[in-house]
Amino acid sequence: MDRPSGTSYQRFPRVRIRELKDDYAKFELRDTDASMANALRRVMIAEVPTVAIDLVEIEVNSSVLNDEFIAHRLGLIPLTSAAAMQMRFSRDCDACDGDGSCEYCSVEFHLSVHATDSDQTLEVTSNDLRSMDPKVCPVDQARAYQHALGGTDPFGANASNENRGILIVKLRRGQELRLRAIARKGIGKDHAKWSPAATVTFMYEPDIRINEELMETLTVEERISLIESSPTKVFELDSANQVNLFSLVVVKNAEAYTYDDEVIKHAEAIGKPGLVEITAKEDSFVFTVETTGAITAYELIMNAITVLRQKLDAVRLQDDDGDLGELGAHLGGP
Amino acid sequence: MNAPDRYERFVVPEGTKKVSYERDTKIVNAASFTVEREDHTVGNILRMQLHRDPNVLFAGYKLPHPLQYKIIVRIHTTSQSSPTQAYTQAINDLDKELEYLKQAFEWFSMQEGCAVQGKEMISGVKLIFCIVASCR
Ligand SMILES: [Zn+2]
Repeated sequence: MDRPSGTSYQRFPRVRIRELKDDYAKFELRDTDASMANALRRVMIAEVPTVAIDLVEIEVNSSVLNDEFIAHRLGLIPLTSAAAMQMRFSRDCDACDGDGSCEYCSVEFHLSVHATDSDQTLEVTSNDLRSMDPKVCPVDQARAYQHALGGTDPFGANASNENRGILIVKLRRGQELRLRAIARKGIGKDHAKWSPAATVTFMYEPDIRINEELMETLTVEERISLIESSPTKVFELDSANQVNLFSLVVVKNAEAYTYDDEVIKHAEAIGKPGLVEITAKEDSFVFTVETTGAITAYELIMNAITVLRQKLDAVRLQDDDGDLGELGAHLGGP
Repeated sequence: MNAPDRYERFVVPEGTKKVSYERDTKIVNAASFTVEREDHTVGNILRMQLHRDPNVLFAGYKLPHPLQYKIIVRIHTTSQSSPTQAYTQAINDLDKELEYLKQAFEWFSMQEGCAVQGKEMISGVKLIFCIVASCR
């Protein structure tokens, strides 16, 4: 093409991870805008794939819950999905003709529980699910396994000591539940059971400015009541050990601010408008990510970036329509 | 019974183009791109990236109806550029930004695994040095 290649208007976002646990992450994202932050949030919730039970064949069910009720509960159990990105969606798997039951696109589970002579109610939990693929199993089974290997428990100190699994149904003496289930790859947009995210939120980092000159005109009591006018602990008096006439109001924790405007209203009410000014930094975000355990928080972030790039790649103009479009524009030009 | 399949929300039907381009009949250097099976996720980042391009006079997107799973991106540029060029450039820039972001996360978590925990580090060029210095 005769046109000079386009100039780049790319941004270079900065990242600082504050906290990173297996199922939790808190990080700062800077030098990008809300559209990018929100796209990442939306992809993490609805478009990062996991594996979940999708088809249930019930052989025996004499429990108090009906078949579809149990099938629904099975679907909601989080399964370890580290391999989901590499798996195929059943609908475009050619190894099984869209049948959705081959090793590339599905994992088979079996469950068989019979309350025989026990006088007590028998609880059927996710621990009773037997997976045909060790990579994919209920998350608390994987956690217990890790713990048994002597690894540290990343999800919390005593969580796996009392790993009781996720309750599916309770059986009375004589009742039985026997079934075969197929787990498939999917995304949260299809059904929330496939969402790896328990919570993904971001907030604008607040920029809080205190007018020191105006602040000096306040008495200590007025300063304290200003601090207390904020429903969350955003401000404090400067001298931590000793409050005196010269104690200044300082920002204790800017992120505690909920954009409630209470301090600003209070400043106006005492006749000191402009005492405190709070704006949201347009290019700075604090993210909180929690997963269901299907994948780690770090995997969720990385997979979200990968998925978003795949989506962008899919919306590129194909050569034919791109060039024709260009040509059309040239011909149609003045 | 006659409920549409759930995947219709995100799987492009056979015989349908993912992106189609339609030039404006009245205005030069203006066009609409219809993107099938996409929503605010892609629409909004594209629009905001297009706004960074000084040759773009107008860029906007709309989701015409919640049950029509497509977005329409409208672009009007100066004569220095064209809608297709601006569109492609915006995608390229977003892709590069995401690649950079991915590396930023990798750098940061690598550094986290090394012995410099608790130390404030900003990802980027400075961090490459940090990894070299701290990881052996
Ligand atoms: Zn298959």
